[in-house]
Amino acid sequence: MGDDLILCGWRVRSALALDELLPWQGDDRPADVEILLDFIPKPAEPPIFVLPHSRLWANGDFLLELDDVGSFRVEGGCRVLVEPSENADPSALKAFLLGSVLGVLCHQRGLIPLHASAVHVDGSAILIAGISGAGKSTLAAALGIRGHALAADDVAAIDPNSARLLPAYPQRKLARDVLETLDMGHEGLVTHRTGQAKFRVPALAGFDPAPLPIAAVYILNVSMLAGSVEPERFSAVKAMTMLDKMLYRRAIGRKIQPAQTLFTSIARLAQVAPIYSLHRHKSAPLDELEQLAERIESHVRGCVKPRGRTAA
Amino acid sequence: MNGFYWLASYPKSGNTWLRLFLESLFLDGDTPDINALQTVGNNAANRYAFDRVLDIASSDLTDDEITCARPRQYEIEAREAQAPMLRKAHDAWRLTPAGEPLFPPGLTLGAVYIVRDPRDVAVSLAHHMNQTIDQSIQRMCDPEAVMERGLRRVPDQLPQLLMSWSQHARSWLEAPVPLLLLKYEDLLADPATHFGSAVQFLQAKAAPDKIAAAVEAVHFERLRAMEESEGFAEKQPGMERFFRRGIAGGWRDSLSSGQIGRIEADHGDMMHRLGYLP
Repeated sequence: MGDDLILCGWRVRSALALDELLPWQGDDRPADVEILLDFIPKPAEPPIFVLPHSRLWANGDFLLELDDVGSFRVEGGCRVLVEPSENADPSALKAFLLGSVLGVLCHQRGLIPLHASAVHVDGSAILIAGISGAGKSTLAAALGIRGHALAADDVAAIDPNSARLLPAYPQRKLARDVLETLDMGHEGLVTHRTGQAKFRVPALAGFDPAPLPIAAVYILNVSMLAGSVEPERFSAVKAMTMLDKMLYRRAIGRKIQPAQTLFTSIARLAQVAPIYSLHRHKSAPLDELEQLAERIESHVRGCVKPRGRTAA
Repeated sequence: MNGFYWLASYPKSGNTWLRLFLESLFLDGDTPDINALQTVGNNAANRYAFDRVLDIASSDLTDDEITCARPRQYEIEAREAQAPMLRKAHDAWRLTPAGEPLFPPGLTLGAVYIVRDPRDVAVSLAHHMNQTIDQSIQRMCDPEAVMERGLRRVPDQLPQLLMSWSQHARSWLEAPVPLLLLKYEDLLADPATHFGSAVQFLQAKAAPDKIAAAVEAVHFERLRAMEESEGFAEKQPGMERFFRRGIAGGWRDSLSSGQIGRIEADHGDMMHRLGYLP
């Protein structure tokens, strides 16, 4: 089928227009993930885990419900049923499809979705993880201006077997003030959700869906207080704790993936990639962003030896 | 099932002072680390707590969706808590767009409402927000005033509807929950008695000498000195200092007669009710 798309390296067949995804250009395998617009039947079994927006069944099937947006049922890491609410904004459906649903697909497929953005540096990926509002996308965009192509925004899918990042799709979400600081303008851009300050910004330049080795993970920590300007490497134990904390859709993921599997996957990632803490001063003006991006760039090139590079 | 004590106030009314006092009390009167509070809990509108408890990205939600989901967050926290929880709140006591109380009365053990003379709030708010006093006065009479609305970025707090200063006070004073009213001016004049009444209200048993020690540990000059030497994480960017004057009646040398008249006209009824006007 000529209209299939690529997301995290999967061949995706979608009944919902997802123009932010690139067309599938790989082999003629059957679709890895199907997204269907359909009525979602009520399962006979009661769920094993319930949160206000989320339900999980014993077989790993997941349901996300938002009153004015729609319902999303995610099955077996390969099938997504979308039932839009009446008058649902199609753009809002995408916010959850490429957010929560993507995270749950990763968990169902045994991947590690981190709450992180990722960019290319010298043939590897560096990940910038952090909680909402920490500035992951912002720092990734500042690195983008220095020529480092985007590999993931907000959700970074990692294959624990190869310890590689599976680049997601070429789009980032940036707040209005960041767009202004980076001289990017927001005319013609769509807001992530109606009334929000975040816009969806295409990031096609240099986007490559091929899996990437991970050179380093930076965990961005925003503080009002002056912290060390240099990234500090976490000990092995602390690195695992921090990676666990940065799991995307963590509560659901920990019910989907067996604890031992998650532990092993996180341990493998911590073994392969150095994990650093990175402080960002909250009151620092946004124009210091470029300096922060420059510092990360020289840090990763100086301290971290990306795989595949030989020491001089 | 456990529940919450809400430490509620309009901004710049002494909420941080109360929380630091309680922190010190729970540390047996030791000096609290103003940048790493251990015992007194988060802001009720903390974004990270919302995201973590509900396992959803608040940044994917609209303001109304967030507000509707906040009671659910508190229900889950109350179900999982081992002990009563304290939460700072700047939101007005209000109904969500779905028509239920934002702070569920069934989960509410009580609310301490701290109020301060709005003429002093106007001056303090101007410094805090890095804006003019006239802008503060304008904000304090706006029935739709929202804190951390996030028009330009994603703040680390969720949006909080303040309403006007008078509406904020009325919303909490008339909320259907056990309430202790504390006045900033009383806390200054007789801290041991009034912080003591908060301790009693919160059912946090403490001997009078511990209360005295905690009052001393969070004396304004000491907080100011701590901010001077270590900085304060809750200070807004662009703001010179958080612990600025810590006095009552400072408005007399900071407001013009026109500004005073405006505040008294906007909030006369509530000021009278609270004893700020004869």
